[in-house]
Amino acid sequence: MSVEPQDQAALERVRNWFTEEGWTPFAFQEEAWNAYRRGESGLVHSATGTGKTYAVWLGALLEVLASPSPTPGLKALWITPLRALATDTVQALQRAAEALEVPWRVESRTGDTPPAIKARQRETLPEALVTTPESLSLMLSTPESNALLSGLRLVVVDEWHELLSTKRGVLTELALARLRAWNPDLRVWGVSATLGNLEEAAETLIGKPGTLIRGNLEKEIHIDCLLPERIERFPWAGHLGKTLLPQVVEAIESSASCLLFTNTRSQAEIWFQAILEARPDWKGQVEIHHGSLDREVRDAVERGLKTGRLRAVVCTSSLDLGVDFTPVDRVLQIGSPKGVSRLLQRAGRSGHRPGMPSRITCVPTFALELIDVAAVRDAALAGRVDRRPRLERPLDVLAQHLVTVAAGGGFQEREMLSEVRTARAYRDLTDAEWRWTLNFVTRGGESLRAYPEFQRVALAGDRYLIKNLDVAKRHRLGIGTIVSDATMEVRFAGGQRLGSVEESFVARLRPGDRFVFSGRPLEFVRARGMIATVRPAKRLQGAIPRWMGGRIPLSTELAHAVRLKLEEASGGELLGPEMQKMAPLLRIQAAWSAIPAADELLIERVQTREGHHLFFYPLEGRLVHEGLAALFAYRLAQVRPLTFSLACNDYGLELLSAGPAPLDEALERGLFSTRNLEEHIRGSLNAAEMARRQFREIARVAGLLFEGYPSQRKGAKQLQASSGLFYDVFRQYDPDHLLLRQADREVLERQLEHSRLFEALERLQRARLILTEPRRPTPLAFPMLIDRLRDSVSTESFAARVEKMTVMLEKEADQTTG
Amino acid sequence: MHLGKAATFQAAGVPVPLIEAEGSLARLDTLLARLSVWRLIVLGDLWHAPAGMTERTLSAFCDWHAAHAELTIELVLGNHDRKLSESLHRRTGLQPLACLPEAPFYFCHEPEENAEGLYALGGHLHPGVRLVGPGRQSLAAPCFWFRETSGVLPAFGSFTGLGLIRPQRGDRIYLPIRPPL
Repeated sequence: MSVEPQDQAALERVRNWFTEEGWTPFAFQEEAWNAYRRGESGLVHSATGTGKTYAVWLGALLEVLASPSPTPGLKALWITPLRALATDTVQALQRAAEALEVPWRVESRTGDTPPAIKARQRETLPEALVTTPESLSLMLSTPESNALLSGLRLVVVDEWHELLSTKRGVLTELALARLRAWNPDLRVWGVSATLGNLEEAAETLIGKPGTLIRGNLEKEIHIDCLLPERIERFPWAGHLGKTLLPQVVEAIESSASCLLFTNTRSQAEIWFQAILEARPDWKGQVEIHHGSLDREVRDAVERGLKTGRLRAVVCTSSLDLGVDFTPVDRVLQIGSPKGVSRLLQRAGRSGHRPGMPSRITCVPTFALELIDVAAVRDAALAGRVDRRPRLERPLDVLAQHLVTVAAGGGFQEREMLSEVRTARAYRDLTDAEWRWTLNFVTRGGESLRAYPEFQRVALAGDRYLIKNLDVAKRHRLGIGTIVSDATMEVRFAGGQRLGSVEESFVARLRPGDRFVFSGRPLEFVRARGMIATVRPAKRLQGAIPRWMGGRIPLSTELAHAVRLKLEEASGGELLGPEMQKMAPLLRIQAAWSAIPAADELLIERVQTREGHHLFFYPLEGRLVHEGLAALFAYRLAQVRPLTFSLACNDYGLELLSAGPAPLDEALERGLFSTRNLEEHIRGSLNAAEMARRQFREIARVAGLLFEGYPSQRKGAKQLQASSGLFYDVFRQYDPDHLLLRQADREVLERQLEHSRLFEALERLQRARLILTEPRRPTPLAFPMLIDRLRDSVSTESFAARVEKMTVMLEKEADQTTG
Repeated sequence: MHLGKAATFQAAGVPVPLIEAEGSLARLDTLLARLSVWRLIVLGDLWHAPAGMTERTLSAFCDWHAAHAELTIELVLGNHDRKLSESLHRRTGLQPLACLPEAPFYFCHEPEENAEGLYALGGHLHPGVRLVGPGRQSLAAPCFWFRETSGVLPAFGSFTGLGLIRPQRGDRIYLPIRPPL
């Protein structure tokens, strides 16, 4: 690039401003500015650290300084996945513009923007706008969108890794395709955490390969672990947690401000309660934060963190992202970190000042999780971060987008198809799929079964448009892909909102029942409509609500690292304090059975009073194990009819049967074969019921579900039906409906991690089998035994029974080592 | 029965398969013939909404009605039927009643209504229960729900949905096993 004098002057100005602020431009920032000025699109990534915002933002400002644009109107769009980030982002962007004397106004436009400002923005937009994927889609649904948005030069998508494998990401891809069609010179930049598939991430954002710029030097991260005094040789999930409570309290005490991440909302409630029981004097200094709490409650907690007023917050992934909490100097991760990227993301929430290290301390709730901690540190040090797969042509999102565009001025079929295909997710969209989706929004389905009364998108001349204003209005209310669970609002009789819990939890409550929510003891008064009324109860006790979807499996990279850790152990090497701590457990495992190396598959055959157990240890994460367990049970039962009960965790799976299972014959016949895999999975699982549940999201995105007008609950009653009802009706009257097939596919991919399962089977085929026949359940088997038991007995007798079993096994183990 | 429900959705641009009224009516015919019925009381919500009462649906219903001249049909008004105009009601050839007390029963739509000391029989709720089996299996099914002073019948139409109920001690629940009945 030849450097023009005005470019040089502009760059000087930026450097001067940086010097005034006491900063120096990082090399990657200048690299990004230059790439931008060359007209390139790309992705700026780094594990943690700051500087990414100005890396993508100042390129645009430099351009204006060098060659001011004569035309007014919107020049830059900044897309953030989190509404809460919008305000801070506007401030940061505006600050740079003012310092460099670029006469740009920066505003935000999200669901929180007041109607008066939105109305003004419909007429004239500022030069830069911070918005969300949904608000952008909403803008595209207005006829003025072309005029307002076609002057754009830059679109930045912040936290792109968060959007990448979601339907929100696909919605963003489609919106970007539209903006690019209006302005072929548009530059698109992403800001992302480090991922295992950065090229793919960039290509998905830009529609073609882009420039990758590696951000700030790696931030220093300390990963350590609270080690229990001693561990059980026969561990079970959840047991270890409480014994570490004093150490957790101590850790909180010794830090200025800390975040305690848990893996589920229920766990957050439990830990919050336990900490306050241990330290009642911390009331008001320790708070709880999770996605089911009311927005206002969460906002108050976030403010407390920002100002440093709070000593600690127990939270879930609800705080994985968001504004920086500068005072936080330590993060505790309760339970397995489950993934490398997840751990790094959470660690990065601490030490947010330049030069400060991030510190994360893992708190195992279960002895085997010590392996996860040792493994995650290895993987993080080696830079083996997780991939985030992109989504492949979800038709529900396409249908929604087509209606959006039809509302926003309409489209021509040919043009639209080629535009849609520039989005990575739809590059391989077939003509048949396109025609089907177009028919779906115009005729309600295949042309052969045209529905005469259907009114949505109509053809006028050669343009597809929405003629009916009501239809357009209803569509705008439904834009987006976020689906709320079937939840009920929890409220005090006085009207104060606390948050929401799952309907199924409320269904089990009787008036007078107690439960703990939002860290408060509550008494259930009544349920009416979608509102559960409660009043404060005196003592902190009672059930903890369980929310759906708390079962994150070990990520592929972490599972791999765990296998390597066990391989070291099988060779007698116990590296790291966590593995050392595991020594007694691993010794018994090796003595009674074996510790599998990374290229081995351990199978244990054990007989107990309960029956014949088969334990497999593929170490592939819970979801894959669920799929494998069902598949193995199905294939074993094909050799000889048998009924199995199944149990799984992140490390292995268990098949229990009354008689011995024909393992050898099944192995000969290809127990691990990938042939007929899909068919066998469908045969082995209640796939239809799973698809029916998955259909809720699809029905919502494709515009089948209408949740009513805000503040006007009535009026649309006749248009309300449950997604289950739609599912049943489609199955019966239109079984080839492509949205049904999409539901099947999403069940396979998301709930069973089909591609991972496929890869796991290929690995198992190559693995060396180690079949052992221990006399008793081994330390690796024990937790699965317990999990199965947990489902069938009440809590009191459960603990007692586990205790008894542990004592028995410990005695035996003492004889082994003794 | 919620006749015309699918058409109502379609008129509003919700792409749901068209379920013709003939299907539900044919199912009703099977029952009428098998049980030699001479009097039919509809406990409300015969129609879903005026927007779904297309010419096709209306004439299908009128044809069906005409073919059952021997049958006395009484319609107790449901909350959905109340949205129909006078003239639409006239076109269906039915004279709707607010309720129908006839000892020992009190036929009505919403079963909580004051039943004048009679046993109330209603619809409205589309009662259903969820049966839970081993291995996280579950199945939701429509049911008859008989309580001490009132009973609720399941919905009859094809696109009606379920309202899961919370039975109390002493309630009797019957599940129709093989549809139709």
